[in-house]
Formats: sequence, structure tokens, C-alpha cells
Amino acid sequence: MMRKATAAWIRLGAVLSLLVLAALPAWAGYEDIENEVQEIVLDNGLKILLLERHEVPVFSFWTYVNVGGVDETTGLTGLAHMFEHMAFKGNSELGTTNFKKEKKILDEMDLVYEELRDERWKGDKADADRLAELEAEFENLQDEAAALVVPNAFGRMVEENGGVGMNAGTSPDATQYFYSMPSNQLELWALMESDRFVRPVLREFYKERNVIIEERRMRSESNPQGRLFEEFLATAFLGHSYGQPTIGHRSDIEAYSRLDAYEFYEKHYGAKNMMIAVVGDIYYDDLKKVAKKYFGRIEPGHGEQPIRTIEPEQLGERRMVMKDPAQPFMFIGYHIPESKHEDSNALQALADILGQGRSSRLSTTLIKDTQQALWAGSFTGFPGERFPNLMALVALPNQGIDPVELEEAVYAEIDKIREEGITDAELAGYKQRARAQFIQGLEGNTGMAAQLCWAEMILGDWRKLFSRLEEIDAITVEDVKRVANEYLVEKHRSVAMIVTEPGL
Amino acid sequence: MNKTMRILFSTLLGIMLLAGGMAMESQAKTPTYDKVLKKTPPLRDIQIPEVTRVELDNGMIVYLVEDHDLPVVKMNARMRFGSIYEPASKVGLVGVMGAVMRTGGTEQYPGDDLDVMLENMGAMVEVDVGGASPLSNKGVSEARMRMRCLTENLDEVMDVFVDVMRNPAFPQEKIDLALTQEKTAISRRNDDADTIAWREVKKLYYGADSPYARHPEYDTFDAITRGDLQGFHEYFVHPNNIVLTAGGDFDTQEMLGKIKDAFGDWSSVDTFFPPNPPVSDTKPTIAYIYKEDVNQSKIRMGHMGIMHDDEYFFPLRILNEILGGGFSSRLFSRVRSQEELAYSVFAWMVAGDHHPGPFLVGTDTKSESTVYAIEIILEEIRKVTEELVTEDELARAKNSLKNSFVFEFTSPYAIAGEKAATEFWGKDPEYLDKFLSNVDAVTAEDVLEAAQARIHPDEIAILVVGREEDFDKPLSTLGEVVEIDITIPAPSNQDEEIPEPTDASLAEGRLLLDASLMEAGGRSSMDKLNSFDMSADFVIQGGPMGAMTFKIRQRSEADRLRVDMSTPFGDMLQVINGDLGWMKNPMGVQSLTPEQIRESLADAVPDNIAIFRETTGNEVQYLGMREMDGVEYDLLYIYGEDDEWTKLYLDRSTHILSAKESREITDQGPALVQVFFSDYKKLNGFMVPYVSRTLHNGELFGETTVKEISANGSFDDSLFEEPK
Repeated sequence: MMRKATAAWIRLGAVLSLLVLAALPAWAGYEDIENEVQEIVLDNGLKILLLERHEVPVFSFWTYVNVGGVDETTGLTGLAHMFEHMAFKGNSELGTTNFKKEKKILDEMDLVYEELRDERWKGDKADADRLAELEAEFENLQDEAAALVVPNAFGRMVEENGGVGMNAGTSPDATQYFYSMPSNQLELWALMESDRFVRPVLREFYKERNVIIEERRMRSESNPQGRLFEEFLATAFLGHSYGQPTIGHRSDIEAYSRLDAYEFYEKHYGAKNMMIAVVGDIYYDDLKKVAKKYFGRIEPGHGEQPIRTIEPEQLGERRMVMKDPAQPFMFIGYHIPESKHEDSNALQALADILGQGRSSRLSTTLIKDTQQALWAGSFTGFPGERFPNLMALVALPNQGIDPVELEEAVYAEIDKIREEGITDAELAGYKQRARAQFIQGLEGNTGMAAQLCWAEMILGDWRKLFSRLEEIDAITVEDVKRVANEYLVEKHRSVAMIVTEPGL
Repeated sequence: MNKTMRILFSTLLGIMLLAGGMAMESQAKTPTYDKVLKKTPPLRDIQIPEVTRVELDNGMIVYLVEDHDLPVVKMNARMRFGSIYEPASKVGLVGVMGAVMRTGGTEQYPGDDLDVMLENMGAMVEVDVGGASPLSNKGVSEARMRMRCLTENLDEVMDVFVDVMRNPAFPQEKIDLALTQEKTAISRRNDDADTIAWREVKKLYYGADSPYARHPEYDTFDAITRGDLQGFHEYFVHPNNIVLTAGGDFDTQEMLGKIKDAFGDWSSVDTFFPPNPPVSDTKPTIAYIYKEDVNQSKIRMGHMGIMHDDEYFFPLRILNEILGGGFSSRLFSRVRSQEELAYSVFAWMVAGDHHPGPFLVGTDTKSESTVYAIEIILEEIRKVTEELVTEDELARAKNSLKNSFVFEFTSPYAIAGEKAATEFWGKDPEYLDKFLSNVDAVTAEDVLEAAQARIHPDEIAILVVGREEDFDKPLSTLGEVVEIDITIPAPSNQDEEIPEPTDASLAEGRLLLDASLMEAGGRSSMDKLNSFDMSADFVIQGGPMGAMTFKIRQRSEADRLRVDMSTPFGDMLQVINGDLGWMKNPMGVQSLTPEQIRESLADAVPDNIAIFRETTGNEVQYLGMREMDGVEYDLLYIYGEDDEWTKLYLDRSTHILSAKESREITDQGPALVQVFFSDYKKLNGFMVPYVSRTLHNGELFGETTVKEISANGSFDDSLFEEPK
């Protein structure tokens, strides 16, 4: 139900597992899967990958649109997520009882809303009478439009025809849509999924804004760790849009218009800036046929849009202390390069050995030995992977432990790796783990589709999903020590923590 | 899937799918969609993998299914136990037990070694108990042990899986670690409104003290001992309480051989008494919990729901779709899409496997629309108990259930797991076979009848977590409101902060302790006492049979001790002679450990003498004056070895030693132990107490009354011979 908008800290685990899973099986007896992936590239530039699996008559798909919170500019944050919500509102055929009439009203509403918003922005100088008039007019039009809507027609069509697991997510990097269907519904799926991007209607837009504000209250404003998460990103990124909340600032959500959203859609949505992976009981020829017929209708669009701002080098540690009634919690982040970068594998190995799993350094020392931490872990790809991002450490002190004491203990573990490196046994364990987790990760149609998209869009080629284990196998203990010394430096560190203060 | 049997669903499903497009609103014209829907081909046959069921001689049930798609093997052992079986004084026990089974490992596989070994293979062995969601049995009445590994590691990982299940070591250090973490979790449990809402609403529909709703506190964790974990494990984890599922890349017969080798020699036990299911004491409460740092209310509502075998199961399954599940539901349309009040809204009649699940409804809405949201949700709930659902809604719900039915069969391991769960909980084995026809048979009248029988709008308990000062209307608009205090109860045994000792406070402490000794008769008269012959009654409180009296005669000198005890269970005798010591009870004679010998000898003198002797060389810090029951005391703090400490209370006017306090591991678990001394009388010029009352965590544990005592007599050597 359109969850996960902010890629909030809850998604740490998901980000991590995706990374870990992306390793190649250097393993005899399983070499075929890479050759089983088939590509369809349509004239409009849309790439569709297919992995046929015919055991059960179902299939899953993953639509990856290369637009996320990172593509938003100041004042217009949250638009990628808003469009994700709108992609469940149907199209010019589905979701309305009379599109012609509806369109006329919606167009009129756009004009009224823009004027209303301009008037509101005048603040004290606004003409109160005119404001009231516009508000009344807007309300009327909204009611008229609502009368023509078939509520949730898109979701109903999917559910009624056997679709399950319908959801979508917007992260800083991307907007992703997915569900699973019985395999005899291939054509219905192709029609519905392509219509989202061929003839979307942004209906019930201003009502949905309020739903999103509720989502924002739930994830960020009324949740202490959600509040800290936004502060942490804003602390760590001075210029790059990874510092913005993907769900959007409250002020921006309250002000963006349908026209803003269309403009955003026109700019970023298009066959050249998205891809689809299909896994399951679908045959290549059948998919090719419906793909051409339905997805071929999507406009090529402009392709990937450049992000102009490059995060400037950080000149010294930044700290954010949030006094809050909640118990202590901390994020620590170090700037690292994007996932395509050649150091990325070594950094991932470092994050794993330092802070992933029961046998990691942080777990062994801080959770089991000194018992300073309730939990402590580390992740790369935070909050995204397309651009230079953070290796993030999360630590929760045990009762009675000063968070700053725990913070120092985390640094001591990092320093130990910087000075002494990791052991051969740790690295060998990581490589073996990466391999096993890769194999186990091949199970499940949805997960497989998601991984194919991730490798294609983040690493630049879906084949890297399979060839990456060779790269991982080539990592040396020296590589890990080197990246620890290069990237985990105090100067490039940002810290955000909750310090408990009851009664605020 | 090397062996499969074929079941034809295609004709049936094909017919249903044709009906798909018809459900749209009549005015809506969707020609493109209609065209596509009309030519939907029938669904291919579903191949159902063959699942093998075997019952071992010891009663363990095993389900096996082969799946050679990936070189991976998984296992899941379902065990009938969970948090509902914990004693009320030790809530949290099962969670700690589950955690320490894994973190502590076994003699052969210590937990820390396991962490490295398993992770370096990318394998997993986990124990899932405790921490229940309202929607599942897991943790409450069902524990699970799971493993997953590559086929190449199967033997190693399976050996760990079996050993952790059968022979957990429960090392004390890992118990302590688990308790530290659990207590930290308590300290964090009110941070997030969502956590609060899910935890507290259960208490409204199951009852606050119900085993199905209660949760741990600091005190219940403090009461948990290693013995409890061992006892719980021994009682519940045995083969005839386990249903095992194994799936993946193996040959069934070969795997069965491995399973028999691993579990065949494990004997079944016949002592299992499942507790009663919960009794509903739902009152139509409106409960409110204040949360200062939110701008959105968490609303959770519910009452007791149904079991899986409820006669209205299928009509209610359809009602779930219509009322509160998914994009098509009434609540989603009304509360989210139309009224734009919430991102999340749901209603679900949970059919419990083991005990009735709740009828659970909830939403999160801004503080300013809290009461209105509740009102319209109640209105929607009432409506389903008063009016027939529309034919359109009914058709949509049926189509959704029937057309997605194929997803029940996507994973062989899940299919085997479902069969295991069906047997485990005694569910209808033909559930899946009859699913489609049962769904088809439901009418709108059935749905109304089911709603009227099982949904009671006037009995729904409502919980709101939020800031009432920001609400649209007072909550009392809805009825009488009970405010719930969720302040976390402090541990009753919390120790006070001891200030850093100073030269002055140490000097003062020693001075006062010396004064107390002087008041009792002085060190020289104490040291002149070299043997004791004491008769006393020891009355123990609160045992399983009420108060019990032990009659004791204790004779001691230097390194020799003899204690004769007459007890309700028969006579007992303890003898110590130098380095040797014995305990004789009706079961026979056992030797004492050197530790037991040392402690018994130290305690074989009047209590105050033992204290004065033991504290001779220790640091003593004066903590100031304390008042108890109207009497003023000087409080001394004695530093012992490691972190041990003892507090002594000296009567401020007489300097007489009145009480001692320390933290000890007792038979009932760690406790604050207080001993109060009274009825002082002179024994050869030195004052000794005749009455000692012992309290554990503030509760009277026992009282010793000296009947007769003499000193410096001589004893016959035969008294200290090894008992026969």
C-alpha cells in the first residue's frame, strides 16, 4: 500500500541485504542462471529483463524508475513520492466514470489552485476575501471531481484478478513498483503497468497530499528515530540532495500542486529512464508481444537527469544532538563513494566485518563483551547508492551507558581496523558468506526481479549481479585496511544522537 | 520437485477469471480493460509437490519436501510452548530462554563459536520465541527453531541445530547478557507510540493480567534463574512436542535417515499440560495513554475474535476483505481515500490457531481528527452488522480470494510448512482442498449473519495513544474514559547510589562498627567464645505448603560442625570435620564441596559474631542516618570482594547491630536479602541476637528463634564422624 516512502532507517536492513546478496556464485552446477536471463529492448529505449521460471503459474515484476528524492529541488521535495502515490490512482480509462468531464474540472482546479497558492504565499498581504472565494471555489471543484472518481479502481483491478503483494516504494535513488500475478494475467498486467506511465491521471491529488502528511507524521514527526533520521541526513550533506527527506519537507508537501507533479513526471518519467524485470511463468515470445504493444506506448522521455550539486569535501566533524524524551540512539556517518566506484566492494566488506551479524567486530566487542551496546551495526549505501553516500553506523547504548562512551567505543573499533587491519580469517568468512547469501537470495520471484533491476541501474549492468562475486573474491585484507584509512576519518564524519531529556 | 502429483484447477480458475471485469461500477466504461479481461486464457495446471509425513517412534512428526532448484536446505521445528506458560512472577522467561539457547550454544558448540562458524558458512540457526504480534501465535503459544544452509554444509549445520535444540548449555554469562539487553528494551518500550499501542491494546481485549497480554518488567527479569531456563527447556522441548519441517535440496529417504539418527534416541515425555485458553473480559473501555511528543494519534480497537474452526470462518474471511483489508475495503476507501484522515487503516478478524485471535481495528490519524476518525470507523463497523454487503462487494472479495489462491502453492517448503501447521494445531486437513468451494458458497446473508454473531460494536475496546489537548473533541464524547499509566515500574530491588568514599566517611564507618562491637561486649569477650551449642526453630514462609518449621540443633567448634535438623520431609544431618563434609537426607549421603564447607563453618556462629568477624579487615563507609519504622539507624556500607557489598544498620542510640542487607543469589533467584536481629541476650558476656528475621525482596522469607544456646562446651569426637 505505497509504504516505505522515506526509505527510513528501517530500510537499513533492506539496503544491506540487497548489497550482500549481490555477489556472484563461483559455483559449478549453478552457472546457468545468468544465461537464462533474457533481454528485451523496445524502440523507445525501455529495457525489460525476463527470467523464466515455470514451476508455478505465477510471475512477479519489478518496475524501477530512475527517479527519487535525490532528483528534487528545494521547495519541491517529496514530489517523487507523491507521484508514486498517484500511480495507484488509475488512468484516463480506469478510475473514472467520465474522463472528459473529469479532465475539464481537474484543469480548472489547477488554475484555481495556482492562484490560491499565490494568494496564500502573500501572507499578511493576502486579500482575505479573494482567499475565501478561491478556497470555496477550489472545494467545490474538488467535490465535483470526486463525484466522478471510481475509488481505488487500480488496486481493485489488481486484487480482483489475483494480484498479491502490491506495493511501491520511493527512495532517494528510485521509485519502484511491484506485485505478483497469476501468469495467465500477463496481458492485463502489461496494460495496467504501462498505463501508469502512458496515460496517468493525477486524480484526488490534494486529498492524497493529506494522506501523505499523515504518512509523514507516522514515519518522521511522531517517531523519535524518524525525527533523528532527518536531522542526521541534513547534518551529513551540506549541498547534495541526499540531505533532503524523500517524503518531503512538511512545507513542500503542503504546497506542491498537480502541475508541479506533472512537470516532475514529464521531466523524469520516460522509457529511457526506467526498466522492468519479470521473473516467473512467462515465455519470452509472449512477453515480447505484450511489451511492444503496451510498454511500447511509453514516451522515450529525457533519460537520466543530471544532479548538478556535488557534495563538497567536508572540512571537519559535524555533530547534531537532539534532546528528546526517547532513549539514546545514534547515527554516525562517513562519506564514501557511489556503489559503482571501484572501492565499493572493499567498503562493503569493511561494513560487514565491522558491523553486520553476530560475529562482527561491533557485535563481539560492544554487544557481547563490554555490553555497552544494545545493538550496533554498520551499512554502506546510506541513504542511497547512485551518488557518493555514507557508511553509516547505528548504535543504541544499553541502559545506564552514556551514549558518548559508546560512541568512543565504536571509534576504538574503527581505529583498530585502521591500524591493524582485518584478519585473513575474517575476510575468508566474508567471502564465503557473500557466496552463500547470494545463492540463497536467488529464491523468490520478487526478490530476483528486484536484484536484477538493482544491478542494472545501480551497478550499470545486470550481469554484475552474477560477476560481482569474482570481484569480491579479489578483495585483499590490504584493500579493506586501505579503504578504512581513506574513508573512515574524523574529518569526514557526521554524528547525530538522541540525548534523553524527559518532559520536553 | 522430482515427484509431483497433478491437480487440475484450470477449468475452475478460468471460469472465475472471466468474471473479473464485471465488478466495476456500472457507469465506468473501461473498454480496453474489458477486452483484455475477456481473452484471459485459463491458468495452467498447478503442480503440487509431494510432501512426505513420518512419525518417529518417539512421537516427533516430520514433514519432508524435496526442492532442487537451489542447493539450499531449510528446517523448522514447531514446538508447543511460549510465553503463556511462564509463571506470572517470571514473565520474559521464554524470551530469555530462546535467546540464550542460541547465544549460549552447547557444551560442544559454545555460542560465540557458533556465531563465527555459522556466519562464515552463510548459514543460520535461530530460536524464535517471545515477542508476539497480535496476528500470530509465534512466541505466545508456539516456539520455533529454524535453520538454513547450503547443501554442502548440511551435516555440520544440522548437527548444530540438533545440539542447540536438545542440549543448550545456558551459561550464566549469556543469561546475564540477555537480561541486560531485555532490561534495556524495557527502558525503551515507551519511546515509540506504535509500540505502546500494540502492547497495550492486547490488555484491553485479553485482560491486563492475561498470559496472552502481559509483558515483562524489571522485577520479572530479576526473578529469572538459570535453573528456570533449564527446567523450562526440560519440560517443553521433547520429541512428542515437536513438528519438524524439512525442505530443499536432499533425497527424502536420505534426509529421513539423518533425522532419525539425530532424534531417534531422544525419549518422549508425558507431562505436558497446556493451559486454558484466554477468557474474554473485554469491557467496552475507552482507554487513553498520553504521549507528549506526537502530532498523530495511534488508535487501536478490538475485542476477542475467533478460532480457525469457527463456523463463520469463510463469511468472516470475506468480510475481512470487504471491511478492512486491502485497497478495495470500505475502511480504506472511507478513512483514507475519501476523508483523507490516515495513511494506514485496517480491520481484521484474526482466526487464531491456538486461542481466539482478536477482531482488531486501527488507524493513525492526526491529533486534530482523532475522535472523528473513531466515530466513522465505528459507523462502518456497525454498518456491516446491520446491512447486507452489496453483491458487487461480495463478488469482488470472492474473486480476489479465488484468483490469488494459486499463491498458496508458490514454494514447496511453504506447502510442507502449511501441512505441518495444520497438524500441529489440529486444523482441518482439507482446508485448501475445500477453499474454493467454501469461498464460492458464501452469500451476503451469510456475511451479515456472521458479522452479527461475531462482531459486537458496543463491546469494542478503544485505545488512543496521543495528546488529548490537540484532539478535535474530548475523548469522553465517546463514553467514559480510563487513562492508563504506562510509567515503567522501577525495579523493586534497585540499589541506591553509593557516594565515593572519603577518608572521613571511611574513618567514621570504622569507628561506628568498632563502637557496635564494643557495645555488644567487645572483641576480647567475642574472641573468648570458641564453641557453640544451639537449639533453634527455623520457620520458613511462603513455601508451596505454607509455613513450615524446621527444628535445628547446631554444634560447632573451630573447623568442626554438626547440624541436626528435623523437617516435615524427614530428618537431615550435616557434618563437617576439617576439609571433609557430608549432608545426609532421606535419599542418602552426599559430600559437600569445599565452598559449601567454608560457608557453613563461617555461618556456624551467632549472626552478629559472623558479621563482626568477616568485616574485620574490610573498608567500611558511613552513609549517614536512615529511618525505618520510626527508629533511627546509622548506615554502614561494607565493601566486599568483586562488587559484593553489605549494608549494616546500627541502632543510632545504642549502636546495637539491628539489620544487615545484601544482594544474593537465593533459591528463588537473585534477591535483596535483609536480616533483622532482635531479642539480644548475653552469652558469656557477649550480646547475641535470639531472633533473626530474613526478608527476600521485602517479603518475609523465614524466622529463626533460638531456644537454647551455650558456649565453650566440649563435644564428643563421634559427633563429627562421617554419617552412615
